[in-house]
This record gives sequence, C-alpha cells and structure tokens, in this order.
Amino acid sequence: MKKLLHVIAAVMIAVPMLASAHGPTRQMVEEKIFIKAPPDKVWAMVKDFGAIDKWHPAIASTELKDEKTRVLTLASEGSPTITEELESTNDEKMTFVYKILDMSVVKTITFNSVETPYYTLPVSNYKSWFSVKAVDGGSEVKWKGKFYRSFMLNPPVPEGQSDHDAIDTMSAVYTSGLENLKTIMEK
Amino acid sequence: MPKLIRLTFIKAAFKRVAFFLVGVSMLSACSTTPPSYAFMTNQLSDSVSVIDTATQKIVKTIDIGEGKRPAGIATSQSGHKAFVSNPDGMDIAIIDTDKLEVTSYIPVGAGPVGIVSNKDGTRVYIADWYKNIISVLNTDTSKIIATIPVGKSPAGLIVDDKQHRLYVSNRDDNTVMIIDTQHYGILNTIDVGTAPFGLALSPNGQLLYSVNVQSNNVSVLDTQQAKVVDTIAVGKWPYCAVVSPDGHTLYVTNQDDSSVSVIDTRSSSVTDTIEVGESPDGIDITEDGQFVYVVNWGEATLSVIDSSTNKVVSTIKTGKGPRGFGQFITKRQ
Repeated sequence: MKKLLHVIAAVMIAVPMLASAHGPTRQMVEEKIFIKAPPDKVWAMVKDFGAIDKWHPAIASTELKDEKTRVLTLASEGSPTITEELESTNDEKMTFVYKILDMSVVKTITFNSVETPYYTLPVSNYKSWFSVKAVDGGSEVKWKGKFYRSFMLNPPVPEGQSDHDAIDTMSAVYTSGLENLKTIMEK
Repeated sequence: MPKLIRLTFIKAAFKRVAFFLVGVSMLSACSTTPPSYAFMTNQLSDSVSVIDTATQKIVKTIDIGEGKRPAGIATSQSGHKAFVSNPDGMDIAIIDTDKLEVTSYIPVGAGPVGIVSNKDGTRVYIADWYKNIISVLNTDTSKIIATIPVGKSPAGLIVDDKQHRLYVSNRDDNTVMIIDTQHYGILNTIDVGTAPFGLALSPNGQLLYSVNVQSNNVSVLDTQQAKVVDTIAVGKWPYCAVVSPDGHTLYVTNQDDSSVSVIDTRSSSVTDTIEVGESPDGIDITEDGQFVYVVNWGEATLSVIDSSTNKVVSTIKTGKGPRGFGQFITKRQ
C-alpha cells in the first residue's frame, strides 16, 4: 500500500496539467509495461479472475462469488471492497473486459447539505480492458479503464472526487499493479 | 529529449505546417465553390481543428481559450458561423467560418454541452447539462431570448426548421422531448432506451434516431406519431449517430467496440460494422454523402470512411480529447 501511495504521489507530480473537464465527460486511463517473460506465462497469471491479489500489491484478497463475479478486498484501512464482473475473455487475443458493479462506502460527508458518499475508488460507470501482447523478447501488458468521476452533480465538486482525482487514482492503481506484476514475472 | 521541450518542438513544427497549409488554401480561394470544413472540438487541448473535407487535411487550429474545454459543435448550414459549447468556460464561442477565427464568446451558464443551430444560424439552442434547461440564443443580438426547462441531463439536440421543432435527449430520464420552436413549449415526452445521448434525424424529418448509451441500442421514433416504432441493437456503449443525405443509411459510433454500425434504415438492420479508432464519439457526414467522419476521442484522431465501400480511407490526427459532439461538417444547402 505504501508503494501505491508513492505511485499516487508520483503521478500527481507527473501530470499536474492533465484534464479536469467537468462531469459530463467520460475519462480514460491507459498504462502499459514491458515484461521480460513469455506472453503465455503472463497471460496465465493475469487471466485468473479470482486471483488478482497474487500480483496486485493493493489487493489483500479476492473472493469469487461465481465464475464471473469477484469481490476484491483492499489492503488498506477499513478493508474497503470492490465487486467486479467479468464481461468477456478472449484467450486467443489474450484480452479480458470487466466492470465494477459495486463498491463499499468508505465514508460519508455532508457536502452542500447533501449526504455525499466516498467509495473505494472515486469513479463510476467503470469499465476496463486488460491485454497481453507478444513483443520482441517478452510481453507488453496493457491496462485501460473508461469511467466517469464518482460525483455526478453540479460543481463545486467535493475534495477527492474530481475528474482529476479519478484519473490519478486509476493511473496509480494500474501502474502499481503492473510494476509488481513485472517484478513477479521477471523473478 | 525532455518531454516539455519535445512538445514545444512538435508544437512549433505543427504551427509551421499549419501556416503553410493556410497559405496553400488561400492560393486556391478564387475557386467558385466555398470549401466545406469539419470543425473538430479538441476538449483537452482547448482548440478547434479545421479540416478541409476536399483534401482531408487540417488547414487551421483555432485556439478557444485556456481551460474552456470545447465539446459541442454546431455548424449553420447557410450561415457563415459555427458555434462551440465550452462546458468549463461556461460559454459559447462563435466562429466565423470564412475567416476561421473566433469572433465572440457568449456566457450561457453552468454546463453547456449539446448545441445545435437553425439553418441560417440566427437561432442556437444550447443544452445545459447541470441546469436541465435549453437556452435559446439569438445570434443577431447575442442575447438568450428563452430558457426551456427539460428533463435530466439534456444531451443531444436536433432542430427541424420546416416543422419548427427541436428534439432533445434527456440522458438521465431516458426520454426524448419534442419542443415547439415558435412558442418554446414541450409538445411530447417519449420514453426511449437507457441513457439516450446522440440524436439523428432523417432528411425528410419523419424519423428520429436516439442512441441509447447504456442499453446498447437505437430507438427509432416516428416524429409525427411521437412514438418509438422500432429498436435496433448496435455495439457496446453507442454514443452518436448520423443519417446519410438520402436517408437510407444510419451510422452509429460504438465507443466500447471502437466501431461504427452501418444500418439500413428501410429494414432497420445492421448491414456492416466498420472498425475505426479508439473510443469513437461524434460522427458526421459530408454534404454529398460520400465521406463519414468519425471522431476517435480515445486516440485523438478522425477516421474518414468512404460510404461507397465502408472502408476507412484516411486517418487525421487532431488535438487532444476530440469530441465533435454535434453537426461539425459545414453544409451549403
């Protein structure tokens, strides 16, 4: 988790001028990494929908509700959860698509006299694409997400729920996961 | 090379090329037909790319103003103006389509996104995403002359001058409204699919198509009966649509499939699916119906499709975060 926080800090420094367009706009984040390991080995590791905790440092455990629904419990205070659904897997192309169905509420504040929840991640309508591609001498792993920020009402936006926050958080989630995947696969 | 320096270098090179191209287009300015342009709103680079549809090249990049985040676009057919909605600038930029420059900004409040102009560019309708209203702009006086309360999160707009009607999709109400443009009253509210966003109208004004983002389909509405007469399944997370000038073909962008569905409007069936760039958003067609322009916001390009072959014939690089939400190609009829 410490690492994730570092990544979040690094991302915030690296992309201060990134888009902060308002609510109606869908956002996209894509991160990729080169891993010096055979694509089939990397694919075998990441395609296991019920085992992301094996390689993502921010995830403490994964529980499979059924073959396409998983509940992730994060390794941070209060053990927040994310429920995700696998939409499709393509073994030949080494890709899978999933979406977030539900998240736990971390806290609730009163913002402009409205009860405003903070979820595990500051995103809504989240959908994600994961892929492994054979490249020279190894694999290219790509993790992409499309989403809106969690706060869908008029500006002003409560702290931590802006487009910027949503982008930074997802970027940090992807980067920290991919870096750790690389470390594990290249061992 | 450090990122910032490289970026500055690329920008400088780009400006030189753009300057050269403007020079070239000026040389040919004596030809009789006025050029047709595609005006591309680049939301994340606060600019509008102007593409000459004859050459499929960018002839100019118009600066809209830092932080304004241009999204919606409306060209006026017989007018000489294009209108850009700036959600973060909370205003409308008016572009002179002969000089290719911004002539004025008109404040319109909270969250202008959807925008459409009548044929001669004298009335512009602007959907305010946050305030759930349509503002009516008189472009001769630059005054908002009416505001019409509509449903939740109004998005797509289409105006039909002949029938004196305005159509609005209310994304968060799952409805389409028909508004009388003479008295600004709501004539009908029609239930459609989930999260209607883009709208398209057949040239004869008979059929209205509502693209329903979250139900992955298109509702076909008969505008005279004011009801849904058909529903067509398309790709995933569809966004916007355009009808060919002959009314026979409907093109729909599927954001999460990075494709365009081609629909025969007479049989209401999908006849082809064309692979385009990452996350297609806005879509428009040239006046002669030959080329369909698809805005790929995920990779900052336009895919140009030849409608006779349904093949992508060129890919044009735009500014960052292109949207092109609205009618972005000028038409002269």
